[in-house]
Amino acid sequence: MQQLPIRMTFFYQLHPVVSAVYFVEVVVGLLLFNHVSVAVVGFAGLLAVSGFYMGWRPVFKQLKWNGLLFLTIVFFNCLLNQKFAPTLGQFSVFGLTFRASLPALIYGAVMGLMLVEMLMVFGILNVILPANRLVYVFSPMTPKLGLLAVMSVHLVKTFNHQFHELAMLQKTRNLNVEAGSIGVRIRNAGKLLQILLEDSLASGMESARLMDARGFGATKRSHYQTYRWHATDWMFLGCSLVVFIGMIVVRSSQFGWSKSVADFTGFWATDDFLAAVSLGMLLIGPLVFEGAYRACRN
Amino acid sequence: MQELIQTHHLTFTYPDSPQPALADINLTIFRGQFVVIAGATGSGKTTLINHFKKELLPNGTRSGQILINQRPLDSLDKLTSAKTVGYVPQDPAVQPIMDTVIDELAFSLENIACPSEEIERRIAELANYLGLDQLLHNTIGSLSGGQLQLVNLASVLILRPDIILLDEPTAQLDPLSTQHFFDVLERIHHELGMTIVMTEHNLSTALALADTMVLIQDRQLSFVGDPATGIPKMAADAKLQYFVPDVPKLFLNLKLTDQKLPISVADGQTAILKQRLEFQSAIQDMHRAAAKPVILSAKDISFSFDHANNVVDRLALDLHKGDWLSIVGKNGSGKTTLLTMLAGLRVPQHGKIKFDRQIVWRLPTGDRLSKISFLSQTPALQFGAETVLEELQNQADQLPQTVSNEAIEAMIARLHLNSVKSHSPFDLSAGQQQLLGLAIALLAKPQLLILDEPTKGLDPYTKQLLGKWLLEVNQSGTTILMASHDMAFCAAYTKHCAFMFDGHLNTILPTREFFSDNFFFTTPINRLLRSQVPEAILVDDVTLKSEGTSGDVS
Repeated sequence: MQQLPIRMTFFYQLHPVVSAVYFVEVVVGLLLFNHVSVAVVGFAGLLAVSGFYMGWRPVFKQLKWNGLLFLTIVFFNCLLNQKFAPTLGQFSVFGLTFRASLPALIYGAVMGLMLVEMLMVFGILNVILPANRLVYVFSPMTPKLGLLAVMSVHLVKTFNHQFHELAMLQKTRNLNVEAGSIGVRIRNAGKLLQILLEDSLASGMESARLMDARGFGATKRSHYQTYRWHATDWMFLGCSLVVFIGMIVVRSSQFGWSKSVADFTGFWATDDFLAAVSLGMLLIGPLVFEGAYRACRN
Repeated sequence: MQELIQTHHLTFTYPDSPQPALADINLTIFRGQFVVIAGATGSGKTTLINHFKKELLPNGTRSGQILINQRPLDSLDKLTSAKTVGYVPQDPAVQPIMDTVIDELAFSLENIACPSEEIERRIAELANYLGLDQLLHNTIGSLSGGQLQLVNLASVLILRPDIILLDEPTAQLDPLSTQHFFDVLERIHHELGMTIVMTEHNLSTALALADTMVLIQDRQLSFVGDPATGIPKMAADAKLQYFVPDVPKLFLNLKLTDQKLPISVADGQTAILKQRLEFQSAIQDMHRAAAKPVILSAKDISFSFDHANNVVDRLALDLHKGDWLSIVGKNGSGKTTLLTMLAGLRVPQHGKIKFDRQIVWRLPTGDRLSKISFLSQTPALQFGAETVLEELQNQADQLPQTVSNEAIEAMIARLHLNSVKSHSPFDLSAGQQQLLGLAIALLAKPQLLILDEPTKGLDPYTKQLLGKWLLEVNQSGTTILMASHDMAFCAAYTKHCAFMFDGHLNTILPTREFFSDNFFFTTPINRLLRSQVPEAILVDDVTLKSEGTSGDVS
């Protein structure tokens, strides 16, 4: 498909309330299942959607950092879940023996994937529901919720923007997250995060003060961009709700979910099919509608 | 004339402060005035301007009365306040909330419940008036500092307030963006009759536009009136004399005060023609020192953030031992990226940088810390301790050489940070953070000192203290490389200058040659006297040759 500017895509043109509901469905949907096959389907679906709407370069850049997060979670899960079998291998440090078991590995991979998927969802949300649309969705409920939503997005942006710069500049203070033992790196990263959090919060507070100075919350806000409900909004909302309800039914039937780490012994369970299909449908929904929209446009 | 802002016996004290930040301020600002509030750092300028807007009132003990549009400030509701008084902060990046320029402009109007059609009409009108129409759908992140500050002004102006307050709005802008910003202010003042109240350290352009100067000394108003009358008062004060812009300073130094004191270059040229003044060069030392060995060399370095456009493109540089090189250029021209690469903090995608024949980013950390110091333009990102003193002690602990507590205390005293040494570094003013950053950088007595906008946020008095100190550091053997928008500072202290453009450095020239060759990026004195003394760049570079008779026919 030909790459269109984001403002001309079907997903972006959806009514902000529909987009918001869809993202709530996706976040809840991802939390409904914890089987590895479902998580992999979720990852594939989100990869396709984010690659399509955000472009592959920023997605791969995001995945580079997310990959580290994923590996950290897998590592700690293997380290902390010692009582399961079968064992894949073992090693000793200072007289303590650590076993890496298959259930711990798979469970860690699922948890890591779920976290990465959540970050990918927020990445897409940032593109499809920028600050002005978020305010449009939340302001009618309460302006303070709108403020909170905007401030949170702003805080995350400041946080992301400053992280690389901070990591680079703190090298002048011998605080390096790319050198030294794992312990030193973790300690340094913790210190960086502390500085970053303080700085982002201070910047967020100043932005809030300046929003206040421009009359935010003085009265019920109007909206420059008025969004009208179209038939396609109703269609998309209806379809996504049907799939979402289907997912809840599947989950209620205990498909795609295991309660104990010990049960994580394989990639595929027979009852995963419905869970994987319903999650996959929900995730690629925007792409399906995008195709139909492009087929119908002039 | 209608009074827009009035303060009666306004006194304000910050919590836990033994003395008031503002003492018995009685001030009246009328509709249509262009007011510049001048004063040294810590004199209370920002505190005063924050008292003109309800939402910005600082916490503390306050007495006296503030009236806005003849109504007590406290009685203004939020909507009236937003529509009456607009505010533009110093840091352009902190105000924008939305992702694109058009959404940012709409944000203010949405807050006051403007109907959708009116929002569109107002945006269309203002964007065309300010020349922002081509930027409307640009993301905020893609704008330069100057464009961003213009958007901040527009997002306040769109509310059509009676008064616009600006707190050092050009402190972080390059000279051309600064000039453009002032041009816009002049237009909205002259064409719309907007009342403008601003604090500013760089008074050369601001005072030329202003009709009223408010001078604050020791937390009290010491002068309110015509800038041409107030400037001699500043010149008589030991600290404020450094605030006097170059053009009036030249006329005051040469005692050419018979006529009204000129402030702008244009006024100065008119006065020179009118009084038939002739100047001659007083420059004494024009000899060039022999070049010393190269301490830092960069060959063919390129860097790109997006793998599409090179911020630094095939740049080459040889920096000689003992040199002091300034790099000037527009916001976003790649100066900061270049400096971070030269400091070994960022690795170029192409090319090599060598410090003392070693690849700079491969230097062992201890070696790098003791030989190369770097001060960022955002020094707070280099902090991490609980107090100022601890910050310096921590850095001393990281260095291979021993730094005594006495040396740290001496540095604190020299930078006038004694009163804040137990404060959190993050709570310091922008200028104090700059000084602390510099103290950290100098603790190692490095061979190479790399400074990114070292005068940002500093008042002219502190600037000259800094300049003298850096001069000593340079004379003791430290090589200095800096990026700066401060042409006057570069002209006064540095040995060589270069212009960063299109990803590389244009020819490196001796400072005097650089500024006398430039037309836009140069000093007010060079602009004023280039026809008579082309090599003059500073006030002390010229003396009066002859004072002709006035051309006036009485």
